[in-house]
Amino acid sequence: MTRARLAQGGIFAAFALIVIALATASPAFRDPANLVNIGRQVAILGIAACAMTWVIILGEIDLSVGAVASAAGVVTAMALAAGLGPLAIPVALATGAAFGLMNGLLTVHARVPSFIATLVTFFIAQGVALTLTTGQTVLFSADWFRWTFATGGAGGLRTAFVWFAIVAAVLWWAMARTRFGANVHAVGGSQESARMLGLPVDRMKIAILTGTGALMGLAGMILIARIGNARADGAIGLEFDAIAAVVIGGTRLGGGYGSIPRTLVGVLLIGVLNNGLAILNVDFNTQQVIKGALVIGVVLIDRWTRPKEA
Amino acid sequence: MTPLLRLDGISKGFPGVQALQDVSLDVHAGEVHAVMGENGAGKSTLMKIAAGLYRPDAGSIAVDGAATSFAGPADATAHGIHTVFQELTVLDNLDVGRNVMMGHEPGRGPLLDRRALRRAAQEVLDRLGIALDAATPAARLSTGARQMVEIARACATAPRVLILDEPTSSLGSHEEETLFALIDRLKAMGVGIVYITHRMSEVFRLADRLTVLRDGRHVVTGPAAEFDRDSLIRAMVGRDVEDRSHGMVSRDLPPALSVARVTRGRAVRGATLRLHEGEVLGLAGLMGAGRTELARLMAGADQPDSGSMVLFGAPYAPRDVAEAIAAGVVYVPEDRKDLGLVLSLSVAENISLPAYRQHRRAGLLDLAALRRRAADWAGRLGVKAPSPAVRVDTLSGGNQQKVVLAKWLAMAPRVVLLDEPTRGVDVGAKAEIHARIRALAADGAAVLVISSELPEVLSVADRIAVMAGGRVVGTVPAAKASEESLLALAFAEDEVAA
Repeated sequence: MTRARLAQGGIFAAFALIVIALATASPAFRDPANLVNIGRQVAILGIAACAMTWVIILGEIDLSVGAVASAAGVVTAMALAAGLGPLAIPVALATGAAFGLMNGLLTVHARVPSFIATLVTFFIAQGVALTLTTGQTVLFSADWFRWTFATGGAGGLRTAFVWFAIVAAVLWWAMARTRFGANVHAVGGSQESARMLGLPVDRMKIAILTGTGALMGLAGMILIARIGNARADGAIGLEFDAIAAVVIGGTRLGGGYGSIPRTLVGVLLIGVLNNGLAILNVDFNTQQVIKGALVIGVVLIDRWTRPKEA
Repeated sequence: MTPLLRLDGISKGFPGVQALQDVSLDVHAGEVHAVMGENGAGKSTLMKIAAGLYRPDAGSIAVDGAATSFAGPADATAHGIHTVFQELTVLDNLDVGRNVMMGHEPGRGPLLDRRALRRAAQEVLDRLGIALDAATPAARLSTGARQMVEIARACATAPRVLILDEPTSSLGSHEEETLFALIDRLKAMGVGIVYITHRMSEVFRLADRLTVLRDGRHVVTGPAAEFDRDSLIRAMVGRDVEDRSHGMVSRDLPPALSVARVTRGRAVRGATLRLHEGEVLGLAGLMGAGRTELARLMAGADQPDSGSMVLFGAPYAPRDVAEAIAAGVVYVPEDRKDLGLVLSLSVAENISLPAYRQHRRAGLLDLAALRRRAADWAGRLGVKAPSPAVRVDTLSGGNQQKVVLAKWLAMAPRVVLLDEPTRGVDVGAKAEIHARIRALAADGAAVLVISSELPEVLSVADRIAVMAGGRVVGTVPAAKASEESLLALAFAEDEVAA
């Protein structure tokens, strides 16, 4: 327990160190307005990472989140452009949920490992989005929509961040306070045991993967609301940042261990890093290398500090 | 009095085996009903049916005299029938309290009340006299403590019937006493207990009635007081001892591999064994006696905590399987699908796998030589395949096993360790494999055969070593051994532990 705490402490220390380093190096970074910026920038990643935390604790993985968010964004933009108005919102959520359901059904009923199932969904969602847009940017004009999902708000607070905060709070609460959430840890600990204990393992997988899809519908809306248009590759790469955030937070990829607050640390760390390195004009490719080094560093720390298996 | 649980005329078959044939069993309130039998007698299958994990092909289940059927484990639990399996289902990543209350967590609707949960779990533990804190992470528990957690979970909702599947197989003796005290307490509470075991002392210590199964059939049921050790062993063995295929007397052969007081974890506790050139040594014992674990030490797959091994006069301490193979020791594991074969490769490729190093030309594999060698060995072992190029997963179990043997025998090993070489293999293939094992020894190799089938050990081995509780408790010439004498030795652990 103490060693686990130490590892967690290590993450916070790393986070503090990075913030201090960036703040020293760049006056622009410590500008309060930039803080607001970071908050807005991490919204989509945060939602994806919180959903991913559930999926990973369950012992599965979802590689399709970026493609699903992109596809949902495209469909929503077209719905808005077609004048569907507020109906575009359920359309976005349903699009995401449909892809998520596909992940769930493939994983549970076709017995395809979620790694493969969600990779398949990644390709299909990408294909659908590219077909719909024919590679073009989809334009729409709906100020109310952009206000609701990204640009609205007062002072430093933007609606994009509010949505992220709501999702994080609900997913955190549900994991800590509901039977369903508690059972996710049980399934991730040992699927076989969970089955023997009579937990509805298959239904839980379908529910969580479908819910993740629906949340990617929300992420897609935030994405297009922020920019004001939609592209088929709008959120590609989100899956890796989301997995990285979860892993940096100390949630174990094998399932069974982890929590939303841990993931939030990971999200902030990646958000701060992305933002700070961009402000410092670090070349994008170098940023990727730094992020990669960070992930492996955290994973190694986790392994060294984890109590040995009995 | 109506029994709490009654299984009537249960039959259950799996592809290739009839695990249970017309077996009946009942248990009353406040009694311990022990179920005994050799490995493979059908005990565990019967329990899995009672637990709702398997559906019987025929037969009926009645709870409190009312006929019912279980749709799944949750359904059996809902009827008050709880099972503690040998493979424990304690979840390491949760604390004791969550494990105990799994499936009936307190709270309103979908909400979970963690504080109430911990309190309720602690109450269950205290009521049962289990000295554990509900807040302890399960990962830190000993095997014995896990067993207690498992039982506490079953008791969290006032069980009517508790089924314990070889609960002491991994317990130390003081942990056993705690378990027995707990069973006495549950009995006094009116719980009906089905207790599966193959340890004699436990039966006479705990059981009110006992049932013996053999080869999936019901042999006898009666009050425990009407049995003694000998009559129980007779009931478990039953069949006539089969003819010996050979009558070799133990000779003074040079030792090949000697093992002295090796220990590893709880499984192997100071085992001593000597394997001679040109002999087949059978290694018998009950499930959990430490046979496979000992063989893995000899094969370099695991390393002993203490003790020493000598191979052909030189100290032998392989750090991994590759070193053991280089020294001429090969191990053929029991689980051929997981460990012995690459199912997606051909017969020839499987046989060639360990030999790639020896058949290279200019850094490349000499495929023609490998193919010839593979075809040769497949032929010698009588592998029935259309060609050495077919994938092994298209072959029958017996032929797959022959491929595994061919693979290792082609390496010309000096010491061969075979773990359950004929499990799941049909009678014909079994005879061929036995003949090959004998021929191997005749060629001068030292062969160890682990088998849970006593007739197999008796027919194929020159000498038979019996393990119990991680030790070799005796070695007898096969010609002088009988199933009864071997079983008696295997049960000797009871006396050693007491």
